[in-house]
Amino acid sequence: MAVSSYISNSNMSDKKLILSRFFILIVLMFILDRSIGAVLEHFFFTKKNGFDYRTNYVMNSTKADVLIFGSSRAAYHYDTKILQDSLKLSVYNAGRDLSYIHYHYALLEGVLKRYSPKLIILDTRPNEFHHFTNGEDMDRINILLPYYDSHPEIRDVVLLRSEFERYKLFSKIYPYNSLILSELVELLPIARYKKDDSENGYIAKHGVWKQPKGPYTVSDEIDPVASLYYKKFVALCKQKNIKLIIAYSPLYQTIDADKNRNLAFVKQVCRENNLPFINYIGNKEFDNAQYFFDGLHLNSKGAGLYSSEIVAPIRRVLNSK
Amino acid sequence: MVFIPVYILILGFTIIVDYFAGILIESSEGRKRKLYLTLSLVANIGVLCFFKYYNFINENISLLLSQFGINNHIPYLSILLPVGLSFHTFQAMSYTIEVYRGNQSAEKHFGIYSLYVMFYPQLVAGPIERPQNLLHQFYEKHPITYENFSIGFKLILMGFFKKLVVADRLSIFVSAVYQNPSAYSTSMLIVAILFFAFQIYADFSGYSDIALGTARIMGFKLMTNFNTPFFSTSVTEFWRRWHISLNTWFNDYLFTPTMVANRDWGKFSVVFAIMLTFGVSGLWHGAGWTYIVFGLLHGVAVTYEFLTKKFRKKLSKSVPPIIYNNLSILLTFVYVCLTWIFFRAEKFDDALVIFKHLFIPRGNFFLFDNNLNLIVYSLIAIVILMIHDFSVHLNHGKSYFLYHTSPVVRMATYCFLLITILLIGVYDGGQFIYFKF
Repeated sequence: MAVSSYISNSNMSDKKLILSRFFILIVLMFILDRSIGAVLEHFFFTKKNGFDYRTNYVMNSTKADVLIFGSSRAAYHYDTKILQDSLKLSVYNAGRDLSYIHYHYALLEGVLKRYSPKLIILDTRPNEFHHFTNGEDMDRINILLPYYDSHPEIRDVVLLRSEFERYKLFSKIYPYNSLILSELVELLPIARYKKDDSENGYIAKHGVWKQPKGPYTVSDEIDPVASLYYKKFVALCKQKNIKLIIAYSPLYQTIDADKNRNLAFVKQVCRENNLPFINYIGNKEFDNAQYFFDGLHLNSKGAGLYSSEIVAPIRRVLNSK
Repeated sequence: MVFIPVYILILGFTIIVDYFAGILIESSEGRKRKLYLTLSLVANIGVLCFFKYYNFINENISLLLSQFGINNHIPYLSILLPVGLSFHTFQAMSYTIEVYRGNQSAEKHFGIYSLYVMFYPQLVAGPIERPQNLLHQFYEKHPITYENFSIGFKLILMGFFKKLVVADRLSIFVSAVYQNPSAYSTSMLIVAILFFAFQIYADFSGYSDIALGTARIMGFKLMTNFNTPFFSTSVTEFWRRWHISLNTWFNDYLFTPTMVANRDWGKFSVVFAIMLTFGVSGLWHGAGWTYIVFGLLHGVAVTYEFLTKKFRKKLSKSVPPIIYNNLSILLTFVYVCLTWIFFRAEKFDDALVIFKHLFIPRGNFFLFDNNLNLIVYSLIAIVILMIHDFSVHLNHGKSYFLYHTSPVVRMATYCFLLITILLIGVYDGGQFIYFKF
């Protein structure tokens, strides 16, 4: 009753005016949102280079026999040309900077909707399961937002960011949030003809690390969501009969491999699932700054050596039943 | 800053104390009135001091005693600062003081008084209201009107724009630099210092806009908290345009009474009142020496401006106004930015490191390798904000675009702001900075 008397005090014409103006605003915003969203979508999915292009390629086009998943360490460490020439199989490197296991899992779901590769290498970060209090590990998932409508299989991962994502995604502009600059660059005539500067996803880093070898200081606390998605990644490969190799590529930092809980967890997952494990953490041969671009990443020389060295174990896995 | 349900009891305690204090002050005479006021103020300031300053005071006592080789055995407490404590404590104090001064009659309705302290749009970060402005509004009917709705909507929209597009975007870069300032070049430090000025302005005034807008839609008029502060031609003017509700509070309840009480001292009474007010204002912002230095630096500037008023007036006549005014705006902005180094730095030493590297340049001039996108988005956000503020400044306090006579221009502005929020807003930027005060 109190509410009705409150409202009845209002001027009816004022209420009509409010509603009509709101209606106009909503209609206008709907039209603008759909139109601008469509333009952004077009430019996003027609990119010809860069990480966004490569994610799109993996999600929607690749049919490579061997797929490499991981962070920037994967993107910089696995020389696809060496692997292709040695294995006589097509290889694509799906590594992406600042990405974590949730992102790899969603990407794998997208790939498996189309086909099953023969082999997957999952390059694992030394801090793959690090517990981020501010959710930094969810940041990279934003790049999956443009796929939310077309790829229902990735929605669970997108919603890890927040339950509110489903409501934000009513907007068709929102999936391209903070991408407008790179989209505008695509409008430049030169960008339309520029080919991707990676070698099937592999990015060669040039330069030599000049700093002394420092300690690896990231907390090794295990985040339950990250560890769950790691297990889900393994289970999905198993379910689809895809051969999976877990790898720790070289690192130019001192890490106590015996005490690190991330490493222990990965070893346990490998044991439980009988998975081959390539571990280059603490490898003596790579205890040399000449092979590194920085403390976390190999340069092209290091990547070449590492890729050549892992050909044999990969071949063994491919030849196994 | 944190929300813990049981902390509502603290709010309940101050509400009960001040509710009865108001009634007792009004119904008493002579020294009793003063006694009730004192008890109310002690209760309020006591709660604030305990939750906000206990560990800070204890730490400084320990430091002082250690100089004489004495150990301090008073334990440190693991206390979390209740959300909005500094704001609603000040609002509650203004009520009892105004009742004591006879400017406001005591509120007899407990529910209405509680609502005055807990009015949700401004509970956690102001504006710090006065009873004369707010209490009577709770007795008035507030029908939905187009005017209120329209003004409220505009304020909320601009508030969200400031928070999501400007403040949270800038905070990405600012936080990274202030986390480890010694790792950054002079040019990056300068960018971070400038960005922080716009970040804190957009963050805090954005919250105020949302609070004012929410209240306005319901028919309540709260006091304006910001009035284009970056167009101030002096630090004194800056404080008349920045966090107006806090500064008028300090002016009414600390500066003026202190100055009047010591009027025999002549000019020194003003200087003393300025320094005391800004010192306390700095401390109000946080329990740390960085905040006190921040306040005192503003005190020094305002004192300088007070003492050189005549000289500056003469000077202004000898220089073309356009040059004098713009130069004054620039100098004021630069000075305020420099004081904010202390405000934002995590430690006192960090602030000193930043100052050192400002005056002894180091590193490459620009190091935007990985930050170009971020810097460009930030600049776009700042430019839009400043165009808005400039239009407000020229248009007597109302945005030229949001309050344009043409509905087409207004509608286009709404759409532009909403689309910009969708395109370059940052959605996981965290809470408002002033929530922690």
